Parts: sequence; C-alpha cells; structure tokens
Amino acid sequence: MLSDILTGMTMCLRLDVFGMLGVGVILGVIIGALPGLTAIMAVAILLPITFFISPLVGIPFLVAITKGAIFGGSIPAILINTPGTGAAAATTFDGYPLAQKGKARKALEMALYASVIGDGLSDLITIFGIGLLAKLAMLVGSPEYFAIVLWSFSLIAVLTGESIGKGIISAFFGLFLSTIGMDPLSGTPRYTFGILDLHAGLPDIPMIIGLFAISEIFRHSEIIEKGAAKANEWVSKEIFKTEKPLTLKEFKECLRTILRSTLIGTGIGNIPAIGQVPSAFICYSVAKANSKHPEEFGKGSLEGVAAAESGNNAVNGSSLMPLLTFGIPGDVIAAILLSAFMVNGLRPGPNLFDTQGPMVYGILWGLFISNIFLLALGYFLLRYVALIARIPKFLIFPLVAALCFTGAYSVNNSLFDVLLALVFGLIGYAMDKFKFPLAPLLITFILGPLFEETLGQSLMMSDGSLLIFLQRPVSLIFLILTPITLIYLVKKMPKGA
Amino acid sequence: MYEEKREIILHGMVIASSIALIVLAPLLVAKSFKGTAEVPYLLPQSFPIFSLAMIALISAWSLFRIFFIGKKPVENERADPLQKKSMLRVLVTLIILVLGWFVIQVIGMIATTVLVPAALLIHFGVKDWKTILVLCGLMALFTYIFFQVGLKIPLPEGFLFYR
Repeated sequence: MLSDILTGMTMCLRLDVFGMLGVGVILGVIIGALPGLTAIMAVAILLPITFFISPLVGIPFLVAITKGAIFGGSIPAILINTPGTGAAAATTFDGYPLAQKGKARKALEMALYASVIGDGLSDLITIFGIGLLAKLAMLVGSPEYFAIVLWSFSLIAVLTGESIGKGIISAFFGLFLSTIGMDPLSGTPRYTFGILDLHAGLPDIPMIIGLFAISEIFRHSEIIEKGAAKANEWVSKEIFKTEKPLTLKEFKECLRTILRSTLIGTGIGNIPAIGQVPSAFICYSVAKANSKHPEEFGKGSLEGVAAAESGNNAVNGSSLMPLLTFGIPGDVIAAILLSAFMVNGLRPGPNLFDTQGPMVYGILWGLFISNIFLLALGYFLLRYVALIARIPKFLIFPLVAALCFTGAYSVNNSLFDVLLALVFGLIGYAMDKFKFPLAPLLITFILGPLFEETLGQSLMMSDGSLLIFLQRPVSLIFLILTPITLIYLVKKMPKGA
Repeated sequence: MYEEKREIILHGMVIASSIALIVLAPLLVAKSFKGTAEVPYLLPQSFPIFSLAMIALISAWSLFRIFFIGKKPVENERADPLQKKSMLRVLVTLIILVLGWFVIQVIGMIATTVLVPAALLIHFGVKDWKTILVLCGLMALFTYIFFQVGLKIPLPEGFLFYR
C-alpha cells in the first residue's frame, strides 16, 4: 500500500497535471463566485473532456473545479450576503456581518485558509485511510453489496429533497432508466423501443449534461435579469487596498475550530447523501457550542467563517472514500466522478486498488496538490474575481448551450446523444419545477446495474432464496439499518415533507 | 388550492405513465435472445416492472394523502402571475435548442455554435450586434480549436459543407 502511495505521488508530479489543476481551480473559483452558476453544472459540461485525456489529469481537473467553486461560493457570501453555492450558505452568517464592519478582507482570507486546510487534511486522511477501507471492502460479496447499495439508496432518496415521497419516486425513476438497454444478466433488450442507440443503455454523460446544465438554461430563461446590479457594489480589489489583512494571532485563535471542523467534515463525507451543506451547518453549530465567545457568532465572528468553510471543504476528499472502495457515490459530484472513472476504464470498487493502485493514489495526490493551487491562485483571484462576476448571466448561458451541444456529441460522436441531452434537460427542468430532487435519480441510475447484478448473483448463489441476505452478517446489519434509518429520518423531517 | 390541483394532475400523470409502461412490458422487454442463457430467479422484466410499480404506488400514496389527509391551506396562495409568460420563454428556448439540433445536420457543429448562442442571446434581450458577433465568433473559434484541433473530435460538418 505504501509503495502504491509513493508511486502515485511521483506519477502525478507532471507539468500537464499541474497545468490542468491550475486551470480547474481558476475556473472553479470564477464559477463559484457567480451566483447561479453551480459547480455541478461546470463539472457536468466539462466531464466529456476526461474522455480524451489521462484519468490522472482529467479526474483531478474535475475535482479542482469543485474545490475552487466551493471556496469561490464564499466570496459573494461574504461580500454581498448571497452564497455563490449552497455550501457557502453558513458562511453568510458571519462573513457578511464582518464585511459590514469593514473586515471583508479578513473574512475572505480566513475563508481561503480554512478551505485549504480543511480540504488538504481531508485529502491526506483519505490518501492514508482509503487503503484500509478497500481491504474491508474486499471482504464484501454480492449479498453485502446489494444491502449496502440499498441502504445508500434509502439515505439518498430521503435526504436530498424537500419531500420524501418525491425523493423516492426520483430514485425509482433513476432505477427504471438504468434498466433501459441490455439486461446485465441475460443480455436481452429492455425498453429500447427498437432504437439501436439505446441497446447499450442510456449514455450517462449526455444525461448528466442535460439534467444539470441544459435544465439550468431553461430555468434561467424564465426570468431574464438585466445587468448585474450588485456586482458594482463590491469590487474586492478596493478591499485589498484599504482593509487590514488577517493577522497570525487571529488565525491561531481559529486553528482549533478549523481542525475540529475538518475532522467532522471528513467523517460526514464518508456517509452517502449528507454532503457539504449540512456539514457546514453542523460544524458551525459545534464551533458555536465550543467557542469562548459564542455571543459573537452571527454578528461577525472569524471563528464562524472558519468553521463553515473548513467544514464544507473537508467533505470533498473524504466523499471519495465510499466511491473508490465500494463504488457508491455519496452525492451528485461523486456520481459524475464515478462516470469519469468508468469512461477511463477504472471501475471503482474493492478491486480497483489491486489493479490500478498507483493510478488511484496518483489521482488522490492530484486532489491534494490542487489545494496548493487553490491557496496561491485563490489569494490572487480574490482581488479580481469581482470584475469577472460583473458578467451578466444572460451572456453566459447561451455560450453554455453551445458547450452542452459539443460536449454531449463528443463522447460517442453521436447526434442522438445531443438529442438525449435536450430530452434530459427538459426532464431535469420539469422535475425541478415540481420539486423532485435530481440527485437520487442520477445516483440510482448510475448504481442501478450494480444493484441488479448483485441481486441476481446473490439469488443465483442461493438458488433463488432471499434468505441469503439474512444469513450473512454484514448484509443483515445493512438490511436492518435501512428501515431503522428511514423511520428515524422520516420522524426527524418537518411535518408535510 | 392551486398547488394541490397541480400535485393531483402531476401524480395522476405519473401513475398513468407508470401503468402504461408496465402494461407494455411484454412488448418492450424481450424474454430472451436466441443463444443467450436463461437466467433463473431474476427475469429481465422484473426489475423495470418493480421500479415502475413502486413509482405508481408512491404516487398513489401521495394522492391518498392529498384527498384523505389533506394539507394545511396556505394563506394568500395564488398562481404566479408571471408563470404563463415565463413558460413561453422556456418554450422559445426549447424551440431554439431543438432547431439547433436539426441544424447541426445541415450546417455542421461549428456553424451551429454560432447560430444557437446568437438566437439565445437575442431571445435573452441582448440588442447589441457587436456583442453577439464577438461572443458567437469566439465560441465557434473555441469549439474549433479545443474540440476539433485539440481533442481531435471529428465534429459533424453538415451536408451543406460536406467534403
């Protein structure tokens, strides 16, 4: 394992990797700073690129965009009280009051340092801990896999939307869509409507582009904003000329909070469906409860900014642990990354570390190095990103449409894929309008074949007896956990959900 | 009341389409191909039918809740007055994108990356022709350099420009 870690490190020390990481971080910070543009959309549009470049370059590039965007989201959160991404919502509690007190520079710098430390440490924990988890995953057979995937599905369906019913419908819709094409067990075509392009199943990249990028274009075209009114109010270049920087003493006072939030965020990243937003809120609450000055929280506390930012960024690295070891994505970004791995012939799961160990560690080191780029480029970009944020969205979305067309086409050189992206754009838009969450659909769609395969294999192992799931301890634990978790979460949900 | 009606129609449609797909399953799922092995215990149609049945059941439960348990009435609830107008905007966007897809086959991908953004920019209210020309020109140039030259993807030329 240690030799794989070291080989991986030397593998990713390449100029092309560094170049793409830099580009990814810059793109991510800009996208995150523009309210309305999401990291998911950016990653969805740029996903086809990974098809043409080495996974060692392409996958860290996608993750660098996410890291940059999650930090970038904190810039408008602090300066104009509008989080650029959902993950930065908790940053507004103290970031904006700090900006109003004339301490925007301190808040921005604290957000950057906390993000980099949270993310970097989480990446290191992932690099050194993932091998052990992979060894555990090796002990898991088909029945256990089926039970673990079932448990993840129930978490994702219940936790990712406003309504439990709609979350579950979305999950089953994804599961149904995953059955289109050849049956993985018998090889017979299902629901292909005689269309040859569907025999290999619905392609995931056009689907992702449609659901998360084209649907945004439809959503945006509902209301067209003229100009970027608020952008003129905050030119952060001025802040850097007039305001005092963060002092070492202030940073040291928050270090304990940053480390605590990093550990909490890293733990949360391992659980499917929780993600960055709840992690930021949980870390913020814990920091407030343990602070020497809890009365300052909500009124402009640097500790509050540090907790929220390190908490949301720490999820990035550790969310790859269940993805790479069990092949189970915890959120939409992880599901898109799973596609990127598959496109490059790397099938996440326990065997991945045996067959492609150095490559996987190389990718993980790439994620760690992207934090260094985030620190350097983020500090520089803080001064200029306000100028970029002046670009109105009505100029960006038409260009996004052109990128979606080319991106959807480029994977299989197929115009049918472009049409599918348009269809899924409409489906994504309609689902969002009727408040159906999209995350369960995508995750069950991607995991559907594995779910069906493991069920089929388990039944074959037991000559058709469902008792096999109760006879194996791990699958029994997860089968018991599924209804318990569901009942607990349903009870915790607000009434009417 | 508006939201309730919308939910009833929505769940009704979900149930109807799920049942239709279940009924059509014998036509849409081949039992087995000649030469392929029969897999016992899990038939090809079991999984899709199970998923569709669950969708229909949960939608039916949602309808049951609306009719028999009911939701708390929301005060001053009314339809968004802008909705019709915004739906029309979405429809125009959809038409532009679908036309764009047809147009790729005629004039090719590069020319489409000029036309589609230009049409959308006009639809989004941009009136300055210089902005439209510069943005669309840059987009086409980027598409050509990045996808065709850089990634070596053979982008469709369209039958008008087919060599």
